[in-house]
Amino acid sequence: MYKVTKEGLEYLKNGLPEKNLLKFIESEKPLEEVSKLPKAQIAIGWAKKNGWIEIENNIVKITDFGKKFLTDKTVVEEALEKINEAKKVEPEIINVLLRRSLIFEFKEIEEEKPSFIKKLFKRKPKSEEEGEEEIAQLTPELILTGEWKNKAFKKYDVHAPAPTINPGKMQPFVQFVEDLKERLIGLGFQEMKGPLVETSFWNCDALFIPQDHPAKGLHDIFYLKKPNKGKLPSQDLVSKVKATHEGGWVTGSTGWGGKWQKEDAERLVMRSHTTAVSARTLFEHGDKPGKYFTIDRNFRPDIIDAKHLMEFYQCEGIVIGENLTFRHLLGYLKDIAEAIGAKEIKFKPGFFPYTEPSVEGFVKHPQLGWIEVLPAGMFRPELLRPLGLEKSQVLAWGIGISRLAMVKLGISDIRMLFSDNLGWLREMPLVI
Amino acid sequence: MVVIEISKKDLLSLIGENLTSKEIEETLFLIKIESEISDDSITCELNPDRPDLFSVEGIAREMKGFLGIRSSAVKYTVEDSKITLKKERADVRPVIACAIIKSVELSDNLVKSLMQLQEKLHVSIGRNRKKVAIGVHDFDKMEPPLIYKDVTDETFIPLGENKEMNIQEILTKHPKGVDYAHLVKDKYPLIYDKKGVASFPPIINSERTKVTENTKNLFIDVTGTDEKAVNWALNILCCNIVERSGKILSVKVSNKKTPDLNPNERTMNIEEIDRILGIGLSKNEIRECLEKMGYGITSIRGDKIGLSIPPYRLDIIHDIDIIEDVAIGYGYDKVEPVLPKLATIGGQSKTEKLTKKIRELMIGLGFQEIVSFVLTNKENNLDKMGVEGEVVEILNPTSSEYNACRVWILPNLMRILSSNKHQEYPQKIFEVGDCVVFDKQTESGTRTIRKLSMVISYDNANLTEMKSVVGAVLKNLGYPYTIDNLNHPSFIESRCGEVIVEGKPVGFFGEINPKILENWKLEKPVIGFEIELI
Repeated sequence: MYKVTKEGLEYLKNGLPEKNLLKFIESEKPLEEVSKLPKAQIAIGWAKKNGWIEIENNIVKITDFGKKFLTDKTVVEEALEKINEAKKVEPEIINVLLRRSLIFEFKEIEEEKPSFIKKLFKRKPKSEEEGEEEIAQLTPELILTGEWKNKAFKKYDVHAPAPTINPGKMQPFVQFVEDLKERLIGLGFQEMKGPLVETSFWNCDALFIPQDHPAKGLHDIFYLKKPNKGKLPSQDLVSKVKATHEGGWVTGSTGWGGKWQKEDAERLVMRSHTTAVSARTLFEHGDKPGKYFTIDRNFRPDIIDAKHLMEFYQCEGIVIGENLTFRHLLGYLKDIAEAIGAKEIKFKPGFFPYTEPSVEGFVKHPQLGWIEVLPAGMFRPELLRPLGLEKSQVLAWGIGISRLAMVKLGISDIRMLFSDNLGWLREMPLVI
Repeated sequence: MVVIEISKKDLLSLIGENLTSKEIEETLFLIKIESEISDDSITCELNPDRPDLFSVEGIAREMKGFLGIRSSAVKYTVEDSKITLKKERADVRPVIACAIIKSVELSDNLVKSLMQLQEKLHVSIGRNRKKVAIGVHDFDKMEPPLIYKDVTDETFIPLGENKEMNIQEILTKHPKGVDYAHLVKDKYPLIYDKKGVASFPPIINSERTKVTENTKNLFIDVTGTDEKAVNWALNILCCNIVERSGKILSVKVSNKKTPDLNPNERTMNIEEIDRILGIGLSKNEIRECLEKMGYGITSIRGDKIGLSIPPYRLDIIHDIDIIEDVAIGYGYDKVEPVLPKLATIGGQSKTEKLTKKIRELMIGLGFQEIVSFVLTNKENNLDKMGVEGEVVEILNPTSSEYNACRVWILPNLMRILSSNKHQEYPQKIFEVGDCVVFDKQTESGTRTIRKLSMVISYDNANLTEMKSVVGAVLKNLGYPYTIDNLNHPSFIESRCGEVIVEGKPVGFFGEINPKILENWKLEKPVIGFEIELI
């Protein structure tokens, strides 16, 4: 059950500050004048949030939508009245009123089981009768002198509103990412890192993506204008990659044919997938068995809207070992699916230029149904041999985590993952 | 992803068995095709590696094998048409291959499917007609001799028109000419028969050789720049068309008969297959799996298996591709997941570990964390902060707001302050994130650096408060640091300090200059601190 606070009662009597503001403005007034109103900050804040006013060149204007409320009652007013009359109100409005400290939750204390507070006060009826001075703030002096023993404590109204605190908090999407990292580390994966700007060599060529692949166009990858050209790694690695692309080198492949262009590999790109990080890790560690992951940012030339961003996070994992098999790959996918909260998984053959066999893991999401979230495969020999892996198989997967994060955070607009709305960030409860 | 639409009735009649929608969907899923069925229409999402599945005939052939309706590999016979196409100087699109298909029943289903297949092949292996372009003609309207050559001008009636046009008119006025004009310049490849121009690849066919409902025999020309891609497209067209009806005849092109539909013979190590898959397949099971996938098995001797790869499967470039087909033939749904014994110790990277600790410290100091974009523009990242300098720039940005990488985070925090003026103050926010700076020493000429940035803003925000935070952060990071005076255009002169660690400047803090506050339309004091994590 809820009761109206002192502030709420005042508004019931004298009107909501934002409504008084509307009445004062009538149609438009200079901001300077408006700011002098009592509770001007609160009033302007809410009126703006509600879309009632616009401020331009220091003039406050009432919008067409706002004009309606010069006369109409607002939902806040209606709700306050209802609560004051102990009537029921929609839970969404309750939250708004609670946040504005216009109401508070009131729990009736059962008479049969006196609470601690009641007991406390029952012990001290004497002082009340004697009309002695009550202690409001307990001070070191009162404690040291023992004077408190002779006095009563002033009753504290536990229902009285207290100021709200905006605690320092982790950004909600970061909380999601950190939780996922923790799960992967728990599974024995070591985190790997790579740079945001890469040569096309690491982003594509080292992954055996053909140089004329359609997904290398300007619509799929951000290329750099300044600087526009990078340096290739060691001549040894470059010549192996070149030979593999052109004719398969010693990998047992026919390669892609054609001539591999050094200039194309030197182009600089904003990393378009974390697989570039895996390529660097494989080159560094070779056949040494290990499990690695990264959850990091990638870029693609999208136009920002509710469903698209040009920056997105991928969760990538690789497992290096001599006797690894396709069955093991499916084993890890099942584990990862559990780590992201899915109970069921099914596998569809897939295709990626750098893995074979390839698989797409579909998981049954409690809210979204069957969704494809786990593209995976075993890295092709044409990728492994040039990077220096002679004996090992490498299992690999890369999850786009935006959609999973959105469901977890209860948001439908992907832009909220990078939200600049301080109000929302402050109100958002911890992601558990 | 390639999306095609096929008719369920047509598919089932090609398969020759009655399957429920659920059975169709589940089977397609297991052979690499995602599908959605509503009434008679099946929408298929396909992977680019299997262009032979870009038409209902190819899908039906694959399903028949997978479901065991057809037990052995399809063999294609090619008769000799005795027709020659003479290739003269053709530099623009040097590769050409042709085929004739006789006695074709030209049903609506075939016409629809053929048009779709042609379009999808153009886009995928054809790289938008650059690598491969296909022309289909009524063979009975053509008369040998056939010649393929580059010309500088010519006049003919292009498909869908009723009057003659010259090449320039076609390239500037005809819709297909406009779309593909960039693929030809100065010289134009043409296919002639006795009566004149039959085709202008990769742009348009002639109206004269147009396929109609009365067409019985087809002539197919495929031109391009890559021999493998051209042959692949031709093989797929021939094999998929005759899945319905008709017989394939070859055309002699420069002393070579096309199409070549002989299976590609290959020998591989049979032990290798299960070593990769780990399913525990016997040689016989491997044979069954491969046969389901359309392969012919020519021999199994010792640890060697001899295979014939169907002529439409030019995607096979390595044994590993065949191994995947064994797994598909076996059924991904039947493979039991298992974890290997590979004990490793997990952990965070050094950068991320430090980031995590700093994040915790900042939260303890009462700051709200922000995550913002690395991409920005020079105006927001430098100009509006009063700073001169250079940023890493993008060649193909999708918006002028995001055409460069940030070199520091503080401007992002200023933007956030300015869009939250209606929110309660004090506002204390921070971000730990990546920035990209120039660095000639690295491969990419840039370096990704991790920075911590924070701002405090409210009526009484002051430098002393921030100095305490700076001290707390640096002390907890364990950096032995000193602070010097700094003149920085973003801050009020003489209200800015530089943080120096081991003789190197790593960051600075200060009170933002009101001139800069005005740039961001901010009305309350802002104190900022930014430091590179090392």
